[in-house]
Amino acid sequence: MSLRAVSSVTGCGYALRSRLASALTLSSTEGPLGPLGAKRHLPKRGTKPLPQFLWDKKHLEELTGGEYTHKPLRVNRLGGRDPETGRKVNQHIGGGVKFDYFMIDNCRRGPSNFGAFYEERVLEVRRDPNRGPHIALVAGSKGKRWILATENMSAGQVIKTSQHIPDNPVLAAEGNAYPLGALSPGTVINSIEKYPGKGGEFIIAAGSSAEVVRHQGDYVVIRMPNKHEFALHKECMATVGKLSHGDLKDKIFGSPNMHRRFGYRPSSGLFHKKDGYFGRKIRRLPPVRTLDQPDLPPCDKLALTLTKTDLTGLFGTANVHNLLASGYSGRDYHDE
Amino acid sequence: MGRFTVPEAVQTLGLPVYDPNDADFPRKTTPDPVQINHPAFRKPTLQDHVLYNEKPSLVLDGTDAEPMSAGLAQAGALLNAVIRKGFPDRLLKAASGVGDLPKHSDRLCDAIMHAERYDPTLEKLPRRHDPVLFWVVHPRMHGTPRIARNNILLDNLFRYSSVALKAQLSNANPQLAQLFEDFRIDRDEPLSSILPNGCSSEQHGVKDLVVRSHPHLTIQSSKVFSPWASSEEVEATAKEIVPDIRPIDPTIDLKSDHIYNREAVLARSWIPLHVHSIMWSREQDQKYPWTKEQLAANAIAHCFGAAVAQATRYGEVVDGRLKRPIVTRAVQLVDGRLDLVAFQLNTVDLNNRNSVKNIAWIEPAQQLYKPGPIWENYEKVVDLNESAFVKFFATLLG
Repeated sequence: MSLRAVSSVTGCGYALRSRLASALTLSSTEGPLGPLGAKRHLPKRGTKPLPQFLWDKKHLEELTGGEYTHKPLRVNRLGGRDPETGRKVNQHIGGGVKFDYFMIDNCRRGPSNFGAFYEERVLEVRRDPNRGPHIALVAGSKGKRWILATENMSAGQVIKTSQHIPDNPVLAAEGNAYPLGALSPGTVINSIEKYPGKGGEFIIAAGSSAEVVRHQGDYVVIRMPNKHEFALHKECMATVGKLSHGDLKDKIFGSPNMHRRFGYRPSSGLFHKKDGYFGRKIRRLPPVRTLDQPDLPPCDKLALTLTKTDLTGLFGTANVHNLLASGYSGRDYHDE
Repeated sequence: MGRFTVPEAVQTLGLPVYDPNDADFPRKTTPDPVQINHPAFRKPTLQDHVLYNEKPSLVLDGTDAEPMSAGLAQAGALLNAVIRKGFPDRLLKAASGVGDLPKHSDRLCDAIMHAERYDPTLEKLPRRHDPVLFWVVHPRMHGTPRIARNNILLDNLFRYSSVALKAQLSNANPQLAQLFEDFRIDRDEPLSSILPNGCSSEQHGVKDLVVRSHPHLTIQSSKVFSPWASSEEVEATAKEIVPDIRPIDPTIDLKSDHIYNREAVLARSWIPLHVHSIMWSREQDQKYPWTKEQLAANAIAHCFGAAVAQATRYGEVVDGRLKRPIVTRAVQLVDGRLDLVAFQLNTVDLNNRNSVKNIAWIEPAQQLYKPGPIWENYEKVVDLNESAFVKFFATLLG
């Protein structure tokens, strides 16, 4: 850290103060316009979504033994707090009535040979207090499971899943699941896998849907509701249709108390001055992002034990035996 | 100053080295856990269970059952049975005279009020759940639990049928008196039956089918009961088609378990008796109640279990074939509604769709009366339906 030389042109006291203020921070991002002006190339604040700490996944694993069950469960809730650090990560979440938790199976898997499907019948479509879209209980030869319901899904309907990618695109029916490579451009889809085999991660909000734009070799380009485009592997599975409960955004809770019953905590209520982050920004769309390989998991944290000497932080000529300060000598002692 | 390390020369001597910074220096702060190799100190595993079997079976458990997803059609597909809605007319006609007896409705009301109001049990009842006002926490009430009330009602109905009606109708129908005389009644006895290679599925392959339940009343008799369907009618079922519930597999609601009885478990198994009927009650979950179809399918499955227990009890099954048809009856009481079932077991080969089929007669959801909520006192019988009792009596007569 070093103080920059003060400009000889002292006409702008504000520029001097801002430079000193920014220099005293440890920001290393400086450009031609100085530290404050160089932030425009950085990702927008809040772009990367925070992890949602809603339900305790460890408790869920304890209850189910790591296996899937369609039965309603009572899972502990975290109130937006990180289970390891205990700190609040997600604002305005906490309390509320203890709703039953239904495990949702996002993995739609089926046979990959031509003409073969895994068929399931929809037994029930119901609301889920833990998520926006409705959920559907489907039963097939492998058992029962809950999935996210599409808009027109109803009890008695038979839905199919296939992992076969034919030469010509399929005539996709709503509720069926196909790989992206089997869908024709213009197909409305939801619950899209980011990487093959990982389960539906894109488009899980109520009423939302994405669109298949084009096929590009081994990748398929899809357009999100915010018009951003992603190129995903053609083996990634997606469900055809729009997700249910599209009118959720128009519904109102009716009272602050009802908000609290659903587990939402109030905002601070204090006045917060709006800064440059607020307001509509008109920007170019980013280029198509190709999701080729999943991000590597974070490395295991190393647990180090430092010696007493390491803990002192002393090095060089200062790194002497700790007893020397008490009057001991480094020289040999002779018997007197 | 580097960290102290034990010199190699000392290490080669093999001397014990103690670290003064260790918590257990110079003596242990916590004693070593006692290692005793004795069965009493070993945590029991699944394999130690008395009823453990290496080969798992598919179990339909009455106490922890899943509702049948496809209802009656699934029961038919699983049990290789054709479902007939409604009892034979001859039985309904034979039982129809009960309505003319004096004070009949008063006696029925008494039987119901004994269960709903007069019982002095004070147990903690489940907390009331309101699906609309879901945030309201209602106080815990005390009273007679729903299953206890229903069991009392079943007892009363059976007693009224077997004692009072028998006494009144026996002059007109002497065979009726003989029928009820020989009944042996057991309460709350377990019932378990096993059908080797009873079901096959894509997911599980061919497995044994175990049906176990805990009926409140198990009624047996030394007499052999004649089947409801004649041999010609049974042969005709070979041409009938069992419901096809694809894509649902009939076994998806059964659970795979290693712990089950390899022989039939029945009350009074040491006496040569024949199961006449079983009666039990169910309490509906407040949040996720079963539908009428699911309840009816459950009743058929348990009636089948009783029939198989009877069949396998005295070696009626030889080389996978049944010597003679066996008929059992079942009564399930849920929220004032009676599910009346009679099951005729004609074949134990449940996977062969070309053979004769089993037959199940059912009168589903016969509302005997309208019960009130469990947290309120029930002052008066509401909507008493005597025709439901007529069908109940017909079930016992058949």
